[in-house]
Amino acid sequence: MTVPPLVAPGRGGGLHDVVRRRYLLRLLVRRELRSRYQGSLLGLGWSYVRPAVNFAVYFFVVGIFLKMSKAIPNFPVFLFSGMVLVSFFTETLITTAWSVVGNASLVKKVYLPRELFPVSSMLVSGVHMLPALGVLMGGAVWAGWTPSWVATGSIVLAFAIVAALAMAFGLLFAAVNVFFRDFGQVVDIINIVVPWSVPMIYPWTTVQEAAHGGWPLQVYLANPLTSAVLLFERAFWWPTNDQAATLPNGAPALPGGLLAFPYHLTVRGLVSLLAALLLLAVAQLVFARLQRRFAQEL
Amino acid sequence: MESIVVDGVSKHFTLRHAHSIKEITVRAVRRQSLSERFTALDDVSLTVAQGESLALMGLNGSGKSTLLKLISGVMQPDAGSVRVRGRVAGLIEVGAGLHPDLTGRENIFLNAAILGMTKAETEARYDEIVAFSEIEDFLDTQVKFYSSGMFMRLGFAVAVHTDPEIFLVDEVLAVGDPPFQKKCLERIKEFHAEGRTLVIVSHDMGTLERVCGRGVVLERGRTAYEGGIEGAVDFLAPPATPLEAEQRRRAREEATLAALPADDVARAEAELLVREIMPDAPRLPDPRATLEYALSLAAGQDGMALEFGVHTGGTLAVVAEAREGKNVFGFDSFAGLPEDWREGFPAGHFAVDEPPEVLGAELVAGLFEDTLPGFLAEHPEPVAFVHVDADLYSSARTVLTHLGPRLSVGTVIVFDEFFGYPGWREHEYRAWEEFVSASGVRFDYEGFTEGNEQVIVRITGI
Repeated sequence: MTVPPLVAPGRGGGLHDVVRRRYLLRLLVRRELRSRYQGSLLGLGWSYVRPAVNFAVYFFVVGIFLKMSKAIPNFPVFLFSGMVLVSFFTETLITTAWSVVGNASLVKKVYLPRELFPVSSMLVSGVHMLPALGVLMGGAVWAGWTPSWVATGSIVLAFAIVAALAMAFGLLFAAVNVFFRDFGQVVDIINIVVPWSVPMIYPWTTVQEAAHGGWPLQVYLANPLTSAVLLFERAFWWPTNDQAATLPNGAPALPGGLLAFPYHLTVRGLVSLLAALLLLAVAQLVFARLQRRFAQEL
Repeated sequence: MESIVVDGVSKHFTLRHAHSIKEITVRAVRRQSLSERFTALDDVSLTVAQGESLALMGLNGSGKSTLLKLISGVMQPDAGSVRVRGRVAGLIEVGAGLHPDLTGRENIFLNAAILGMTKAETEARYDEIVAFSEIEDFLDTQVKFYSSGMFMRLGFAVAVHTDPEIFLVDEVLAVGDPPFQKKCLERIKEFHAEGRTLVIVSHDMGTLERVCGRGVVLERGRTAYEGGIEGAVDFLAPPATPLEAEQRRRAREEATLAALPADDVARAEAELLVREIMPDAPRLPDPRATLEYALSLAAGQDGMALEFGVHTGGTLAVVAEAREGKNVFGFDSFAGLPEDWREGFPAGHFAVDEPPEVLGAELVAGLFEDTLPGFLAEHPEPVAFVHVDADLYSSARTVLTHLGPRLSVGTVIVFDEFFGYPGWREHEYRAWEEFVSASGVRFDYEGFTEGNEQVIVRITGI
């Protein structure tokens, strides 16, 4: 038998430790899924109802009443492809922010890699996204979607951006929320802003026009979430667009000759992913430092 | 090999008085302090060796639980270092990992995983866990419907079936009903026997003395005492009266005996008896010396020398030589023990093919109860020396009953298996005690064999 070395307990190996204890992670995810719908009649069915209502509100108000359906062909697919990503992001933010506080009894008594809690919350949100993603896929196929390399690549890239970004903010808020519960409220406010800060309900060209192509547009486009939503739209919505047109230089265009997507969307996406990963690394460092004081603060 | 090394550890807590901006402003304006520093541990160092069982003691708020949390990694020290070797698990408020919405079965797997077990390990120990928890019938019930006792048992059962190198126990020995507590204690002792390192926090001194070898007493975050567990208990809770001190000493003596193997217990009991009833009797080094010393005591005494239980005649020869071959008789059936004696000596043991030849002694073959009455009728002389090597209670009683009227002041009796073996209170010792109380004979203990079973008595009054 090899003799284990003397080590300092509870120092933690960060997200690496979470991978090492994936069996526990799986059980935690199952626990959270189970307990969330305990005693509910619809159960996981609620993860269909919520996006459906959300979708219906935007579709009728923005699409019909505000006539966005005229400007954007196949508006339902356009709207829903952005919505799937954004809901995943906002839900992850809420659940991760409370994940450590909500597991206080465990955090105070047993040493576990504390990253487990935000990670499992994010995975639960991921599971909740699956039905919506299925509906989106079904709708897109019905509208004439066919798989392509561009679409697949865009989906993967967009999802990676959102996951990394959500995890980064999740870790930060989960840790800071232990010390200042204000951050639970901050998250709620962020979630009001997020759906409007990405081209989910309106085309990105609206911002382009308003900003006259100036620096506010660059700020808007620099948001990694914007790139992710645009990538999802390129993957799901664009192939189903029966009025698809191209500009003389070959770029996809909306009716009226506006650019459907900014130039170099793939490059923007890759840069966004890099930025999200960098942020994740920083968040992990902050979390690792703060988690040492979790037990005494809770 | 050290298992836990705590080196110069300090831990402070900050108690914040103000939480919101409004409160902070108000307190700042009034020049009140915003927070207070509280020192839970102050430069504490200790080392626990592999397989050791350490008690962490102290009054409430002395820092015991904080130290335990530092060892488990739940908290980090502000100064100094804590290092551990191997997997740490603990009973730190059991049930922390139980989720009310999951069933007992699901909780077993979840809680085991929280405590670091893999799926395969949990499955392998699943039946044991269920049996230990005694909630077989409620495995598929959600834990929120459990009684608090069931809840605790489930948490405990999982925790004590983990496989850690270091096991921490925090004031949880008080859970459950007495039988369950006992079971938990047994399990913790097993952990100790398996060579795992134990650190136990408890206010139950009795339990700590039974389980731990060493104790550390904390006082307001500092080490106030470190040493043997009994010293630590006396340090923390000094006995209030001499009587209590004596009770404590006795309880410890008994507890020590209870923990020893049966042979050692018997020997230790004999030693206690010696101290009690013959503190000044000569201690003789071996059985032969005891026999010879007894014979020297009887040298001036006229009359017969009798041995009961001749076997191969070795000791009878010694007696015959000392008595110069006069009036020496050896009694034995030579068919071995008539009934089972102590372990390893069943009925028939000590049988010999034919009676030995012993120079200067006459043998009387047959069961004592058959031969002794007739023998005594034919030999009216006084009895000067008796060597009772009858082993069994029944045989010794027979001998004493028949010889009783013939004993006189100065008669020396040597018991060959008086005490010091498992079950000794049921044999020669018992026969002698009963004879003494029935006959009212007075006597002195004249010697015994150190660490062996022989005792010499001399009659002082009839």
